[in-house]
Amino acid sequence: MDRDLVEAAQHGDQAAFVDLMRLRIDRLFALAHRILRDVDRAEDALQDALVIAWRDLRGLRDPDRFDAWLHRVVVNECIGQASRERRRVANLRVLPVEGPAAPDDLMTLADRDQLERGFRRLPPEHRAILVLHHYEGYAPSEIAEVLGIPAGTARSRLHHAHRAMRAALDADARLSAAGGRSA
Amino acid sequence: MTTDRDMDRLLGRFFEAGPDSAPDRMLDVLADRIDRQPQQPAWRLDRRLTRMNPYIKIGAAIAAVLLIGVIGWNLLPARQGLGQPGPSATPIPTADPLPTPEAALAPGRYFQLPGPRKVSFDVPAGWRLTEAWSGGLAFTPATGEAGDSIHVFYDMRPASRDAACTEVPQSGFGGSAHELLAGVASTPGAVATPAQPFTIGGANGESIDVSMAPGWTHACPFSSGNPTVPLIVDTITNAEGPFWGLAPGEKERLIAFDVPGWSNVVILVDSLDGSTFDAIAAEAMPFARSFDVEVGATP
Repeated sequence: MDRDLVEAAQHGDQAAFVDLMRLRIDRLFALAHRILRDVDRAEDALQDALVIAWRDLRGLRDPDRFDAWLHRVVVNECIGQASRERRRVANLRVLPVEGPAAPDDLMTLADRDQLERGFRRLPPEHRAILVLHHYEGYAPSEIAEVLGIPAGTARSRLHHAHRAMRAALDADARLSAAGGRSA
Repeated sequence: MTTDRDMDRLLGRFFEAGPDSAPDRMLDVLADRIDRQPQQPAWRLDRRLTRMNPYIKIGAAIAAVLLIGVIGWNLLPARQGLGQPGPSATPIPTADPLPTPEAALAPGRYFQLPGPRKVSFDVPAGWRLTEAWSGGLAFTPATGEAGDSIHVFYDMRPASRDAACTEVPQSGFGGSAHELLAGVASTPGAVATPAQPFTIGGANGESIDVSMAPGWTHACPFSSGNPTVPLIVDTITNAEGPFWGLAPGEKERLIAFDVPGWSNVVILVDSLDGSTFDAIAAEAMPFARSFDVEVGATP
């Protein structure tokens, strides 16, 4: 079914492309939001990514690879958006994430705040890898395929991202123990 | 101390929070935007695949994308800069490594590291990086229409003129910028302007504008019956490198210069239907003039 829609869209059928997106846009938006941490920027990045996907769709040789290909386009656009934002905003003020918080008695507000700060300090490529691994549930080999990087590079980046997040949490914990408070 | 298990648990919970549905307007906005966005012809997009029928193929070499990193580069021995034949390299302005392809670029100076070389250049506002691989780069300019692009290729040769459009260099031409553009200008089916001198930091270069000759009808096996003129190809004949030519109505500017100790660099400005050629060619010239190439020893 999807293959038919992909092939129709490859032949210029705009309605088929919109139908394909109708089935995917919520999940892609959630993915973009987890990387960018902002509703407006996630919407902008996803819109741009989907227009790029439409523009370049005829270059997709195997319609059955559509979802992996689309993920790559969306994640790359999010990384680009995050890179631009990092240049503009050197000192980021942490704001609450929009939308309903997951019911979780185990995660304190302080935990979430620390994670948010640590996550926003990561390079965009590392953010994307964390989201693909912990939100999408991808293994490093699958992350490598989505990002178009060697599997070893994906594993290495995932390791570095974990280490940076752990360091951020531990640093904040030390500050709290010393009676300080990070801005 | 945060353990691995703690971290997995915390990040899992952390990413659960947030919206799970897109704003309602997104599909309507998307439908409107794609109505104004033409799709690229398939044969122009056939990249990173080894099957033969692309006009441009930027193959598995993408795996060797050579954004190696500043540290590795700085560990190299003495380097030789473009137009500076001596061993002491002249400092260049601060540059950033290129980001992931498909990224809109902030204006500024960037570099790429294809092998033991550092290629630096200024990117103006509004450009988008669409490709970065061991054989070069591609951008879409701010002023261009769909299909317009600016490419950087390394170590290119005139393409074979055989009827089957074989993806190999045409014999009889060397690797200098002058020989490359002389070969392009004399390709059957191509009409070229006289070569103009183009100098970058003392390096020798030339520039020509080229389009398809009126009445040219020869098609290549991969061009779906459309007239084509293969122009340039890389020297690695494995059907995975760049292979570029002309379609009907297309206009291209080729700026080529010699890099001492290496080969040639080609900057190709491409207007698919020719209508925006003057605008994107003007936009590309400061980009071309900003190039600097440092050639170092093999790591």
